[in-house]
Formats: sequence, structure tokens, C-alpha cells
Amino acid sequence: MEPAQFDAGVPAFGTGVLYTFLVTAAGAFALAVMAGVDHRGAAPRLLRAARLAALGTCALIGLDVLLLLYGFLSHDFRIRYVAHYSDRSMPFAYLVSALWGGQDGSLLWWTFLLSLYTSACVLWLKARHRELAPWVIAALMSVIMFFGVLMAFAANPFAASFGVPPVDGEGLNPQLQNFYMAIHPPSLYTGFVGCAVPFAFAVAALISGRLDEEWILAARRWVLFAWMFLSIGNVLGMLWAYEELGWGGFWAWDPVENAACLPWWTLTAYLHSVMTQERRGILKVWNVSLLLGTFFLTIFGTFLTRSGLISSVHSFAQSEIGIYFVWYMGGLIVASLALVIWRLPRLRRPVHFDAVLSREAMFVANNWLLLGICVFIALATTWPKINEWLWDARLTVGASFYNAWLAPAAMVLFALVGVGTLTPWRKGTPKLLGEAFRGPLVAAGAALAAHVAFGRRLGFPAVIHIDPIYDNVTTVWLLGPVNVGRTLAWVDGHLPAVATSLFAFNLAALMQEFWRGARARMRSRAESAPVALTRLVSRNRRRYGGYIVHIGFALMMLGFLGAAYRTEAEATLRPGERFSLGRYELRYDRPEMLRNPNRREVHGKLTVFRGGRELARISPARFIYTARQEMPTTEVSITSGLREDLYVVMASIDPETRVGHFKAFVNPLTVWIWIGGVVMVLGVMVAMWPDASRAAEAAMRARRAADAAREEEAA
Amino acid sequence: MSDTTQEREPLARFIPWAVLGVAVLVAIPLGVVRGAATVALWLAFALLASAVLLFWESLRSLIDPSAPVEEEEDEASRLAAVEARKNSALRALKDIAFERSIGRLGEDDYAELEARYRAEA
Repeated sequence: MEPAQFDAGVPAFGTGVLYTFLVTAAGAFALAVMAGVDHRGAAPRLLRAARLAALGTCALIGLDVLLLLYGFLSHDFRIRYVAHYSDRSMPFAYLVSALWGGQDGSLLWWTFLLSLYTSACVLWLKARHRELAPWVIAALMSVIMFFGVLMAFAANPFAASFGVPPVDGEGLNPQLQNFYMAIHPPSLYTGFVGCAVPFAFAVAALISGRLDEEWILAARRWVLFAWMFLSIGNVLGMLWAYEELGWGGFWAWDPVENAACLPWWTLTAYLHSVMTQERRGILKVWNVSLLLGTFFLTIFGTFLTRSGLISSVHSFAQSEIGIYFVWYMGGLIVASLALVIWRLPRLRRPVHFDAVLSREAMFVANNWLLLGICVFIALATTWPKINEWLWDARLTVGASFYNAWLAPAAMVLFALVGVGTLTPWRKGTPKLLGEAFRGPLVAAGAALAAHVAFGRRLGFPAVIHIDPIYDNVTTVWLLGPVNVGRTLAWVDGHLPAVATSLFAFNLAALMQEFWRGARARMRSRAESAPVALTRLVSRNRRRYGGYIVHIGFALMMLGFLGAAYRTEAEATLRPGERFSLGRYELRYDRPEMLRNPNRREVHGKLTVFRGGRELARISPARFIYTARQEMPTTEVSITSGLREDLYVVMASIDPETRVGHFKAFVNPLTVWIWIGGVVMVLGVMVAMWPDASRAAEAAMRARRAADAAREEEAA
Repeated sequence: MSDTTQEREPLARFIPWAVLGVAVLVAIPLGVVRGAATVALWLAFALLASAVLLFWESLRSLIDPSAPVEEEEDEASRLAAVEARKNSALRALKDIAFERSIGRLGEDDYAELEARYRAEA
């Protein structure tokens, strides 16, 4: 459809709306601050004005997104962004996903999601938390203002094309024309942007001085929601990489992947340590810092992805926006530190643990470990650039480095998850601890013995060989000369056995928790086992929702363990020839060429046999998109099972000789990562599902009390 | 707050939902007849109108003394916050009772924690 006459000014109108919402956000910010500091009775009026101005700003941001969408749907190539990221042959779904497919549009999308969160939060705050509300609105508006400035001065998605607009656009990057790519960025952004709301509550608590549990309770569901979407976004990112990049794996420790997972670690730490604050009233400084840090990491991640600082298959084009992020991050650090230091006397409480084997001590240990992993990933990601700045030397930090160091750390975390589940708050008597640990320890021992005895026969040996990543001898304090690389490789080689036993330990600990809880209900209330279990979960959603998340985490760890057993083979075949890998034999039948308006597809038709029987017919392919012929994509073929995936890539086919070059991988246990991800999401939903009857009852009681107070005053 | 405002408020509460409903209802036939691009344009117009109304109301809060300020919500909101904190303490009480019932909390610790949460509740 050609752009109609009446929309001649869409690029100019969009830019105008951009400037307008920047101004209105600043207005809403000023009104909210005035409402927060007013002590002369004007606060309710100012707060209402701020709230409505914030909602109006959000409506303007929505308007801008719809204008850009209109630009894509009407192929208005006068808008440079539309011309660069779409073409006339693209289907509707990818025209929509092109909204966030490039730098400028993704920043608008970021702001749009933030406006949705802001609207929801402002509407939710209407009758709640009067002291916190102005500062929450002000904090959210300040973030919107930053993105407004960024787009207005450095990355305007409505910037006009130079000269005469092109007849057709350049088209979306073919690698982004994938189902998971259409849903992965919105999910990840939803998680990233969602961290702004807990951040706003933390800032509001620090400024208003209301540092008791009020802000924690207020922020709880927002934190869980953001965490859930961070998890979904990262898992979908793994799925996209697995399906689209064609290298056989799902996580390559690419800088952008690392940036996406950084806030997940700190938010996970917060979810655990906040329980210690609720239960014991300690770790207030830590918790508030974790939320401030999580928000900082979302901005840092956005900076890494968009500044062009570090090259990656996922990153956006190089641009001038980096310096804006640097200033904003600097401002965030200074403001956050100043607020925490200002409130330090009221936040600080002496921390004392009654026993090492207590839940709060386990939470602190897991927090340090989660934070340590986060810092390690952040440092390793940025190290090549730091190295270049300081010593003018080029360095690459590869996946083997991360895997070698983080696999042992992940095992310690896995152990802490299990031990933390079993330890009581404060301290447990040796008898109680013995009862709690006996079953899981027996399960872990049995799993270890079974793995050692039968693992090799089943194709999963308990100990594997890993090549050292370094081979130099280093003197380590107290230990003397140590070959760090060989030691690390030895430890990593034994991790499959450790992981299996920890998997059994965790599952047994979690099942035991469900069983003990259900049994207590069966005894005290004479309920049947299914009724007791259902009611146990529904009446203790937070606790058992958390346990379900842990089951999901354990299943994901099982999937990650499978990566240690990955095998691969390559073959160049004529039609009718075969090659084998593990339990599979693959026969190359024929090549096939398909065409549609958007692309050409070259398929390699293969038949898969297992144990002499035909298992599946597969069709790995290369897609050549009309608009970007220089970027053919790899379309892998995955035959998935609970035990392993057969993952086949077609590298090339010679059209004259019909000779095909194929690469195949056997990826054991990978499907458990996706199953674990789904279980994790289910667990979060259980944990944050509102108790409708209880909330309604509380609201009604509060309203009645308010009515009674008013009547009394009138009398 | 005046009686007129009290009478007007229940109706006023439904206005945003009514506007949303009308915007969606118009968008459906528009999409069928004119396509997705026109729907985007229509929804953009609806958002522009909403933004104008919201800014007008915001301005009215500042300059019009008769504009609503929802003062009566303050007390209910404060009590709801107190109620939420009480519920949190009650949940903690339930938690420790549960932990004692499955043998995860000793009697001494239970007594100490129970006294603390009861006082908080």
C-alpha cells in the first residue's frame, strides 16, 4: 500500500511527538518531586496532576510506537529506519518485529515498554503508598526522560531518509526473521524494563525515608514479574541461538548474551536475600543496593548491546549513543551511592547468624556467589576492551574460558540451592538437620554410584577428559606452584559426576519438602494425599512456588550437563550416500529448491536411521532472502527427544554436482533446558498469583475502617 | 468532597474503559475494511485524544480548586498498607508454625519468633 496523501508528515509528526513526550515527562517529573517535598497541603493536588501527566506521557509514547508501526505497515520509506529494516516482501509478523529489529526502534520499544510499566504502576499506586508514590513516579519519569533525550538527540527512529526515498527497503536482517526472534526481544525487554519499577520503589524508599517493609511488599510482585520475563527472555534467546545460528549449541558466552543475563543474577540474589530482611530485619543495605545495581546492569547491558563497544553477532550497528549511556550510568552510580550513604545510619543493622547451617547464612552465601558470577561475567565480557585501552593489546575471551571457570561455580550454587532448601531459619538441632539431610544424601550417593557404574555404558561417563585452557605454572598463595589450567581441567572433568549427584540431592530435597508438608496436613487435618498437596501449595504459594522454580532450575542444570557429552561429525556426500554419528545413521537423499516471495530455500533431504530403523525424514536448509542475498541463513533440523537431540546443519549444496556438505551434532539432554524453563515460569506464576479473596477482604476491611473513621469525625 | 463529585465518581471511573472499548470496537471493522495500517493510525488517534484529555485533567488539578483530589482514598490507602504489613506478620506466623509442624524449627526458636511476629501483627 502506498503512503496516502494525508500522512505526508509522519516522520515530522513522529519526531514532534518524541520532543513533546520528553517535555511532558519532565513536567510530570517536576510535579511528582513537588508533591514529594510539599508539606503545606498541596501534595494531593500535585500528586494527581503528576499522575495524570505521567499517564499522558505514556499515551504519547504509545502514539509514537503506533506511528512507527504505521510507517512499517504502509511501507513509508521516507522514514530512514523503515527503509533500513523492512521491505515490501516482508510478512506482517516480521514488519511488526522490525519495530525492535534495529537500534533506534529498539530504544523506542524500550521506552514504550517502560511506559506500559509506568502506566500500570501509576494506576496501581492510585490508592496506595502515598508517601512513596511521588518518588516512584519521579524515578520512572527520569528514566523515560533519559531515553527521550537519547532518541531526540542521537537515535531518532523517525529521522527522514536522505534525498529521494527508496522504492523498496533493505529488509530485516534474515537472522532476525525467525519465530523466536519475534518473541525473544520483547520478553527480554519486558524483563529488563521491568527492573525499573523495583528500582523506582527502592529510590522512593530511600528519598522518603520509609525504609521499613512497606516498599519491599509493594515491589514484590513487580520484582517477580521482571525476574520471570528475564528468565523467559534468556531461555528464548538460547532457543533462538540453538535454532538459528547453526553452531550446535545454545549459549556461546557472546557479549550480548552475557549482557542479557547480568541483571538476572543480581535479581535472583535479591529474591533470596529479601526473605532474610522480611524474616530477620537484616541486610537492608544489601537489598536496596541489589535493586539499584540490577537497574544499573539493565542500562549497562543496553549500553553494551547498542554502543558498538564490543562486537557480537547480536549487537546493533555502531552508533554515537554510547557517550549518553556513559553519562547516565555515571549519574546513576553517583545518585545511588549518595542515597544509600545518606540513609546508611537508618539502614544499617548488626548482622548476626546463630549457625552456619541456617537458611539466612545459606542465602548470604548464595548471594555472594551469584554476585561473584555476575561480576566475573561482566569483567570477562569487558576485559578485551579494557585490555585494549590499557595495554593496546588485542585479546579474545572465548566460551571455553567461561565454561572452565563458571562450571565449578555453578556446581557450588547448585549445592547451596539444595542445602538452603533443607536448612531451617536461625539454627537447627543436629537431630533435625540429620532427619532433613538423610534422604537427599542417600539419593545423591545412589545417583553417584549409578553414574559411576553404568554411565560409560550408557554414553554418559562420570568423568570426562577436558583439555586445559592454559598450561602455565603459577605460584598460588599458600599452595605453592600450581598448574592452574590442568587443575581446572581436572576439576571440570569430574563435574559430570558431581552434577548428577547434586541433581539427585536437589530433587530429593524438594520432593521431601513437598512430602513433609503434605504429610503434616494429612495428619493434622485428615486430608487425603492429593488434597493435602494441592492445599499445601495453594495456601503457601510463595514458598512452594519457589520450590517449583528450584525444580525447574535443577532440570535446566541437567540440560546444561548434557553439553559435556556433545558429539559431532561432518560429511560431504553425494545423493544416496550415508554417514553415522553415535546411534544414528543419516542418508542424503536429494537436494530441493523452493521459492517464495520473500526468499529462496535450498534444502538437503535426509533420512535418519537408528538401530537400522527409519526414525525421521529431515530437511536442513539455507534460506537466501531477496533483500539480503549476501546473508544466507542456516535453518537447522532438530530431531528432539528426552535423551538427546540430533541436530543437523546443511553447510552447502553444489547445484551442479548435487554434492552436499553436512554437519551433525548429538546434543544429549538439551530438551531438559526448555522443560526446566517452563517449570521455572510455572513456579513464578504460582508464587506471584494474587490471593483474590484475601486481598478483597483486606481492602474491604480497610474501606470500612476508613468510613467508620470519617463518620466518627463528622459526628 | 461535594455530593456532586461523589455522584460523578462511579461514572468517571468507567470512562477510560469505555474509551478503550470504543477504540477497539471501531478498530475491528476498520481493520477488516481498510487493513492493519489504518488500524494503527486509528489507535494512534485514540491515544492522542487520550493524551490531550489526560494533560487537560492534569492541568485542571493545578488550576481548578473544584477538581477532585481523591482525599478520601488517603485513609483507606494508609489502612490498607497497615493491613498488608499485618498480613505479612500473620503469614510469617503461619510460616513458623508450619516449619515447627514438619520438624524444621525447634521449640525455643519457635517461641521467640512467635512472640516477635505476634507483637508486629
